[in-house]
Amino acid sequence: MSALDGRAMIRMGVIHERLLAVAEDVGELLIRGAFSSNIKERRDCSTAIFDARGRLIAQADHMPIHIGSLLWGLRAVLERYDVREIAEGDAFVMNDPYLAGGTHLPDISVLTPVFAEGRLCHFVGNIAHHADVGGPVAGSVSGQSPDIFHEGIRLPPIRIARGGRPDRDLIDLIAANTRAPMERRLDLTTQIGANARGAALLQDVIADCGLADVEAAGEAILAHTGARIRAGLSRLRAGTYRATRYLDDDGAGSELVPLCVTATVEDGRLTLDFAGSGPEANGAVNLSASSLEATVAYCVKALIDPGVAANGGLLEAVTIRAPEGSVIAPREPAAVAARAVTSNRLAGVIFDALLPALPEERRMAASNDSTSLVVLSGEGFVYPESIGGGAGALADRDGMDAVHVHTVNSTNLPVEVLETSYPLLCTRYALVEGSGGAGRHTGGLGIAREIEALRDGTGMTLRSDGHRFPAPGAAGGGPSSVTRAVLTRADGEVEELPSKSTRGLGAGDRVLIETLGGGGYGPPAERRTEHLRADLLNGRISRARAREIYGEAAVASALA
Amino acid sequence: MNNVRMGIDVGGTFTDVVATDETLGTVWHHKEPSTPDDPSRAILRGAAHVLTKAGRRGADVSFFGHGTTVITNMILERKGAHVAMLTTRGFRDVLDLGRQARPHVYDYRVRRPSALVARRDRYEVAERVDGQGMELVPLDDAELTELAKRLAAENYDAIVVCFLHAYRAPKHEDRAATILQRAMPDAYVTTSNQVAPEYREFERFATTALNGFVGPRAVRYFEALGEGLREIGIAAPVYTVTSNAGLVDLNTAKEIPVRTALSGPAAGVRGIGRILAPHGLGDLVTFDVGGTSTDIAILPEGAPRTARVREVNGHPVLAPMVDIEVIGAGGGSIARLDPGGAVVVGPESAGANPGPASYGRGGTHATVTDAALVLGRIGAGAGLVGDLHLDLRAAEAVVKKSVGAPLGLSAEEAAQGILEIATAGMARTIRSAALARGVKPEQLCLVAYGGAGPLLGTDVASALGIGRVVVPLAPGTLCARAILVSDIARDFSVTQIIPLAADPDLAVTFAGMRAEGTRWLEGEGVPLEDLAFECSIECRYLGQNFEIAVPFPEKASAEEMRAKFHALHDETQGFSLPDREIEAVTFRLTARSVRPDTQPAGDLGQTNHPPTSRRVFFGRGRQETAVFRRSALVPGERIDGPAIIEEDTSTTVIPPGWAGAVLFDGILSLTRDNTEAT
Repeated sequence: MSALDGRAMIRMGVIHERLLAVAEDVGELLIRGAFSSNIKERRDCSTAIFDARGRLIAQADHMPIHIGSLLWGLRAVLERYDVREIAEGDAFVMNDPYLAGGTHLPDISVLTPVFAEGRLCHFVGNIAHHADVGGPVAGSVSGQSPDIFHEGIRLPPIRIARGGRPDRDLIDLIAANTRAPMERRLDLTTQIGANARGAALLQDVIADCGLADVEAAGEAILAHTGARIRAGLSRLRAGTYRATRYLDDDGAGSELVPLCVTATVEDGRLTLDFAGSGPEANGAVNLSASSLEATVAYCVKALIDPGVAANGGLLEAVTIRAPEGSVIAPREPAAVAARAVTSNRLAGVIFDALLPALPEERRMAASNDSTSLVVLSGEGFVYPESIGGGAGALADRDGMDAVHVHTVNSTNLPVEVLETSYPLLCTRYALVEGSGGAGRHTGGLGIAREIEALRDGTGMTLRSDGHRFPAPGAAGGGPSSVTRAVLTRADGEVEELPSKSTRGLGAGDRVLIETLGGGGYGPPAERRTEHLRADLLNGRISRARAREIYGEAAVASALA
Repeated sequence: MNNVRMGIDVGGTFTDVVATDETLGTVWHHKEPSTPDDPSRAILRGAAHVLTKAGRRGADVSFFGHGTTVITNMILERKGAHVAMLTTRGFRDVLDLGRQARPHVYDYRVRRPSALVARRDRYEVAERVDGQGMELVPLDDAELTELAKRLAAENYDAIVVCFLHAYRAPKHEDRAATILQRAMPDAYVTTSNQVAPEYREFERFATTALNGFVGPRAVRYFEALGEGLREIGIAAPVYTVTSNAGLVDLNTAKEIPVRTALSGPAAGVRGIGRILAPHGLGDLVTFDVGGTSTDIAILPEGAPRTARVREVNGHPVLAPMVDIEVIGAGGGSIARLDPGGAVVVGPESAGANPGPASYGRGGTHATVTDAALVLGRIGAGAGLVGDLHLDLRAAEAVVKKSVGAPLGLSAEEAAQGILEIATAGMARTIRSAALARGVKPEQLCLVAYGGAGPLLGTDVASALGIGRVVVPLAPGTLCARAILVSDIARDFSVTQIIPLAADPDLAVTFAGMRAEGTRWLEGEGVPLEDLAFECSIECRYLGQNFEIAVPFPEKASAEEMRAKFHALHDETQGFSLPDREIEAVTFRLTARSVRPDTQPAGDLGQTNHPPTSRRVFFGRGRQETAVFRRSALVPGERIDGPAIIEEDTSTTVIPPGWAGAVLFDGILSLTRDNTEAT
């Protein structure tokens, strides 16, 4: 490298810090100003900066599945509008997977152009998960909708602000199509305002550093991430690897849906071919194009270089092939509301396929790569809870208990907040004993959460998966449990719920979800005695089950 | 004469001791190597050393306050008690479930720390109260008595009682604690309503578990310290700083030791506000750069903000705390190239041993300190404790090797790059912290202290567009000195969700806490005329899930509180909803003693060191730069940049384009000349 490169690298580092600060500040402003608990408490939103060509330069890490959808949204804006039509003070809103590169309709994006030195130079964007965007089911994320028209209001990329003034008429139109119009109005206004502030902050950066330097730094940032990923890929064992996992069903009563990948690692490049994956679903588990790209970007960063900056450079060395008309490349107007289920499982498939190519310390058995979403609703409230489970074990450590993995990362609502906010009572919140796969290192445990309705007329929508297939173990490790959902009526009648279902609850009816754990790693015979002893004393596995898996002698010596 | 006040801040590497003669204003400083296995040894040795230096006796000490890392270290090292937890049936696993968050979004190797109370030590009992405080399942005394026998047989050192909704209905917890304490008279028993009476069960339970975990050893430590001080003749009451920078006596420290975690930096931040108050500097940002990390805090009008919860090594601590953000970069942070060829500084640190390469103790990585030495910003032999001589050649070699050569830069250019990257990261955190608190970063005054704060202060200020930096006296021992100006104070709180629309009498809710606070302060020996109470209510709009603290002046009506909440919401969140119902959620009261400020003066103009000079690298080349000894400076003196000011524990850099002035009390004020670009 020449001396000039060295100085450019340092300049890049300094400007990169400034750009990341802008992305993070927009996120902070959005979270602070938002009304809905989705954004405020669970931080289900993301923010980013793009260059004028629509390349992602800097992103604040909140939700991995959001990487990509802002990017695709911006592509849609640039396709629909001539750049000369875009003026300072404009802002664009969008959510549609087919018209605007959205992930699913509740994720609404706002993109704001930034001008400096007399021209359009960047965009600031944010995307936030709105608690409801209409459709037949509260929360707008039913697994069973037959097509996109059942999933809520569709927004192509359209202006929602001009001359710095939000378009009240349009905001009211969007709000009127949802179940909580006041919240939607506030959250949309905050999204627009946070971006406007972000644009001003970015202009400050440009004023301090000069547009030429900021643009040069942008190129260097992309090249830097690209170089790190290529370097990481070239350290993987070259070859072609395959994996297949299944969704329980397509949300419309189908049989299982296969998700397949053939991964080829070669010369610092990665090709992911999803041929063999199931056909476009009649239910809502289809994965929109931007969500597929986001899922792949997550996997590349997590598997290859978790510390690398997330930007357009992540996918420079990656080729994605998805069969048109399949569950992961659906055609309009296929339903996509439950795409998180598919995205998370698909990440699991990619992890499984690449496991043999990875250095040992990055190998992980499969996890609870489904998301069990329960939405309870009643007069004046919609309460979604996305329940995690156990993470897969690694070659040198047990899997984590009770977390979301891969492209989902949302927190729980504390029981004491739940019970002081809604007419609901949580009767149990616990780990599921015995749910993790056995092995030298064990999979993490899943979560049991049981909620009782205190009033008649409470609605319940379950959008889950993993009820049929456990998370497999790796390198001889055992599989996890499976997820189950049970509805117990006040009169004692018990119903095992299918993974995607909607029911009405009366006072005293209880719904219990027990999510799956993670897969184990390595043969159970290699579990160390003191670890098995801790498992038994802590009640993580029953003695009877431990005797079956680890053997009578091992259990006896662990308890000696 | 009984007029010596003594403040001690126990850090990981050094225990800083400051004593002052209240009558004459003389100040004595001392740095004693810390003794982590038994921190009271360094405290006692340091105290004795300072008394000797001052020619005074233990009996002359009228006040003794200390900030301690004992509790924090127990958490970091996971060396605590064998604890049992009692909890509501169905909720044994709250500590493991946490908030369901994974610690790192992408790096799946990073695990959450395991709970401080193992699953086998968590016991469920039949009892339940609902969100309105109504009893659904009564507590069964017989079941508890049986359980108490079992726990006694297991030889637990500590028991924590954590029931759902105990923040508003504490009776079950209290009765369970009484029964257990009776059965296990030697055990350390605490309840969640006593340690952190606020809602959100995970944070409350985790904080209570932490309190039980550190409790028994904390009791022994505080008792040994009290005894040791008496042995060297110090009979003054012994105070400990809390994480909210209040002073509490040993009894309170023993009851809720978890509140003394993170105490030293908190005292420093609150003390800064007091020490700088006479100068009217407006909104401040504190910039405390240590060896491995940097603490920053935003102080609107000099008063720190309070955070409700912070993490210590992944464990939440729910308590009112001075709101401080920690950045993983300091003077000892290692600079290296990442796999893509970009310069990265920290979070790895060379620590105290081997330390930076220039310490000559076998350090092989380039650190921020090495870079500053290469540039001439610190001198070989200055700014360090003891007689350590810095090895310039070692620093040049390591900076050249690890950053310069791979990037094709000279050692100086590489060193300059290391400082630029380090300060850009620090500036990013300050900028975000300021914006998140509704303050414009460029309007802040930056207060630089800690060993390396004054070294980097003007660089970070320039990156933020800040035009003023102040450096207090003896910036390396500021936290210890700040303890001398701290108040005796304790925080009380209660969660009670009350709609404000019904015009409730809010003062009634404070009455209990006010009585408790009065009793407590009287117990601390505070005279009645010095009692003061600060009240606030955390409120939210109906349906919201986060609260904003609204100050509650005595006898304010619900209507006034509603108006104030709308205004504050608008100011901090960018909107208000005048028609929306408001709920009061958590009521907070700080009971405090107000004392007249006793400001220790500095050692001004004490020495007669004529300035020297050396060539220092700024921006693109070296310039002849005057080097002053801080103790030789006198109030009113003006110093134009470039200049360097050295003192025992720190080095201040005044770059070209900046000018320094010595204020009446010895504080250095640096201002940027707007006409010259830096």
